[in-house]
Amino acid sequence: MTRDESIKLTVKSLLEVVQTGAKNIEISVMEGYSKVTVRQVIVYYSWFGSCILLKNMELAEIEAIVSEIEREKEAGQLSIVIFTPLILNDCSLRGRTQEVAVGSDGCWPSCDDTESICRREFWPVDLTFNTKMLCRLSIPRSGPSISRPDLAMGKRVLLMTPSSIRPKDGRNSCIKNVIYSEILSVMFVMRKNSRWASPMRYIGARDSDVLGSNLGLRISSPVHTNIGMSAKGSIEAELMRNFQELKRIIKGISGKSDISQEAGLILYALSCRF
Amino acid sequence: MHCPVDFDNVDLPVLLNPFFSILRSPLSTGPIISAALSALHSFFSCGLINSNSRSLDQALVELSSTVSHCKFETSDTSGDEVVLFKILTVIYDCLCGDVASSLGDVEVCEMLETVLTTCCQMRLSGKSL
Repeated sequence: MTRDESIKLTVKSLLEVVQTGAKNIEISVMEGYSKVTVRQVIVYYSWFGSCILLKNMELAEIEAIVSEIEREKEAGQLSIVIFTPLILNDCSLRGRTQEVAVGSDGCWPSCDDTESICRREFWPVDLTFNTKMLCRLSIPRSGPSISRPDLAMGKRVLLMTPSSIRPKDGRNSCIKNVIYSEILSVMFVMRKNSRWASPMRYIGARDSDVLGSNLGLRISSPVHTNIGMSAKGSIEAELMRNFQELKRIIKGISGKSDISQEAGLILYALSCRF
Repeated sequence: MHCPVDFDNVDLPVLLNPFFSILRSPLSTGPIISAALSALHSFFSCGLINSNSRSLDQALVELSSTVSHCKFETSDTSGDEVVLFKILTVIYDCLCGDVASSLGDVEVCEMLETVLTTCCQMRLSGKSL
């Protein structure tokens, strides 16, 4: 690896951890033992010769490297920004595999041909969430070529809007996913904020669901007996039971739910709603 | 057991009651209330609560009563303000959305009172309003 390549790799690594911009990066290069230089500044003095001052890399140099890295990154992938995680609930996220169906012409499938495209072709994509809670899907360059001129490589495009993509049996499926996700979201917060360490609380060995909920465990089936349960515990169990009941109700409603519970939970933990 | 085939065939209060219970519960802390209010806002956004929903009137009566009398333990000021903001957002969804025409006078008064009470709280930063 040459000197320039080493510096470039260093900048690339630093860009992963520092705030964007060359101003937050300072680099010195150790080229040999006791020789830490990047740029030598020779200062001449009229009366006794000259001396050498060592300086870090200049900002302009780092900026040039940063812009070069960004250009390479942009050229290597096409970023698609989606504005709501609910879309993923509908059709694009397939459980844990995190594969997203994309039409052969580079477009996202419309509601009518979602099924056929999902069966026909999968592109592996890198699914990441940024801090603004937008979901970014990066399609690698090795995927099929994109023919449409407005979807050229390196160009950031917005292909999907909440209204433009709905599954075939649309509304039911969408609402079902929303309710599931909201139930998971509320139950998650309830478990997280459960005051299990309260001194007023009595937990008996038979209060399996209360103990389970306090430890953050899922309760497989609601227990309908309140024997030996403290008042607070019974209220908590009752609240949890309501959600279990609601889940049972919406299970009977037509409309497929193609999102795993874990994925729903992650999406809602990450989603930034009002 | 009869299984409803569509969300239009399900009574809205049945779907919303678990979330109302959370809002009414004395055990609920700020984050829990916040999550339940977010859920209600999502239901408005995704169209679950719309003008054609079954038993909409009853659901709105419960919703306005629950949201207006929502109480929670105070923790830190910013966290509390988030919850208040979410209460206001749900009220906004009710008053300015499709379902506004189904609201009764009592419900509108209740919610407006809540908004004005929140406005007049001097200790708040005012950013949420």
